[in-house]
Amino acid sequence: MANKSALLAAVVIIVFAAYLWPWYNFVEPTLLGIPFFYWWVLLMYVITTILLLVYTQAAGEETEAKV
Amino acid sequence: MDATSFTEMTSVFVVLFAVFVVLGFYGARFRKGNLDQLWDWALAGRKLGAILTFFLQGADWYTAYSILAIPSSVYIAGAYGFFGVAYQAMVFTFAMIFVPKLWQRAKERGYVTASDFVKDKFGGRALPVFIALIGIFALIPYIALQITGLQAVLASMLLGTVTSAQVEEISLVIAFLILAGFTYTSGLRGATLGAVMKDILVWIALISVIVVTISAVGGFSNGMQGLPSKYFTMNPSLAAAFSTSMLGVVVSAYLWPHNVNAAFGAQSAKKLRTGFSLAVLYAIPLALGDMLGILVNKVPAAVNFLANFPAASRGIYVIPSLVITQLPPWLAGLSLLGIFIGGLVPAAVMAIAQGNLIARNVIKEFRPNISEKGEATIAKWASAIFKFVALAVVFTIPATYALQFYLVGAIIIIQILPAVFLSLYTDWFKKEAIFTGTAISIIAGLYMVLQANHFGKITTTLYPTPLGSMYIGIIVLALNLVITSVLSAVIPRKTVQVQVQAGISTAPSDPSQGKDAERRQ
Repeated sequence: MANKSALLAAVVIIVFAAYLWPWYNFVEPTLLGIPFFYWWVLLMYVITTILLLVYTQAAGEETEAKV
Repeated sequence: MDATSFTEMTSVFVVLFAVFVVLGFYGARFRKGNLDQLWDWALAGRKLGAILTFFLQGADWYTAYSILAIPSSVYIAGAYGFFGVAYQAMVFTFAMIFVPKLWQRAKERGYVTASDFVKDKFGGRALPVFIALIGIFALIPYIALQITGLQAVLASMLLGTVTSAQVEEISLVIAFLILAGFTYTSGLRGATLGAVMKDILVWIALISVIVVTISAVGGFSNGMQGLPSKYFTMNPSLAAAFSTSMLGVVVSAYLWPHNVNAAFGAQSAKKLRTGFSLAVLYAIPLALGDMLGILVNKVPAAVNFLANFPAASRGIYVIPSLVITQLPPWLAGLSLLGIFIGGLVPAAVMAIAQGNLIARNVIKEFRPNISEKGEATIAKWASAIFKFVALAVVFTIPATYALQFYLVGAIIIIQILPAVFLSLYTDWFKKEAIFTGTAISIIAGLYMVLQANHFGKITTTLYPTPLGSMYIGIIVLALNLVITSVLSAVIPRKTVQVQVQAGISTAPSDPSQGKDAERRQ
């Protein structure tokens, strides 16, 4: 229980740190000509999905996860 | 577009729409239950697995607004407009914190709406009815927004034909009559089957238009060459606006009644979480589609197409212009239909949610003797009526206002955070305090919107502060939290107990049970 909550807290912190403040508002390095600003947002979708699936597996049918 | 292509495109559109209608009515037989019961009609009997939950969440949240209006704001505002998709991963991460818990409580105690939780937790009448009414009103502009998306699809498809305006209005009314019909008979089941079709068609549409456009402009490096700098990065002075606008959407997302409704349909907490996790991936084609708001500037045929529309309202046609000028006619028809039902499916779930709120949390509150069947019947009729209320709003108010209405709706809905999300975790907030804080912050929020727009046409929901412009929803949410906390601290316990006892006498469910359930956990 405590571990699962800690895991969810960690996922929330990582995802919010990645997105909430636009520190990623610059052009270089580009990827296939796409400015960093855009491809960072796209890349983090994939990473967020993986993190959320890991948490989902860990949580099982538990519904009382708290932050 | 020549006559043959036009016929091909519209035929595909009409045939696929017929398939959508059949699916919608067939929904009544899907995972069959007793549709005379409100929860069974409105929540698909809580029988949706991970995959259907994913499709429904995706269809419900990634609406015609996401598909049309965000490319529009990228096209107009540049990188700043990308905030409309950059929040998606945070939305589902934040939802992971409290929605499974609310789902669990809903299953144990038979909630259909978030107001049911408020009623169970606090008892009494004023607060749950107030929270229900907030949900109902905030959804009206949101449905209206879907309709403006439908209008954009029809207008771009019928561009150049003589009677496009009349055909457009008649088509919308017909589409809504059919939608009301199958929502009435099939409830969330019909919407869910429609959602699967919608999601698949929207992916096909977005992926084809993305691939074709990127190759037409010769890749991103070429496609962005020589474009204004706003498309590469946003002006750093907009950082606070970008951040607070995203936060507003993230916090409000699962306070919207239709999203709560769709989540309650899930079969288990794990299936709900899996659906949430995968729904983040949905944002990838959407975000790439939004970036076409940049590349469209380098596609001459699409630029010519856009020139048919007034500069101020051109943005919403970015995706249709690429679909129509760059894709073969049959694929264009399929894509436009995908976007069209991309507006209809969420509109259906929103209206179901409104029906539930009015039947269970408003009418039943004052007429407690209504039978289960009577409650379901009221909800079904109300959901049909609310669709036409929204349609009337669209026909009387110019479309350019609609986008801002969504953001105004979000300012209102976000204020139920203390009543729903926070009260799921703590007993500390008192209902009088929540009522007062929520009411004051909604009034303050609406006043600030008027003030920020100099009491004229609503074009912004940002408010200038010493730290830069900020989203009004977040500013008044802070006000709400301060008022609710201070009042909860000063209202004496005794008054609260008297109120709770008064609540027991009118409420069918004993609020103290809510507290017990809380303690058990």
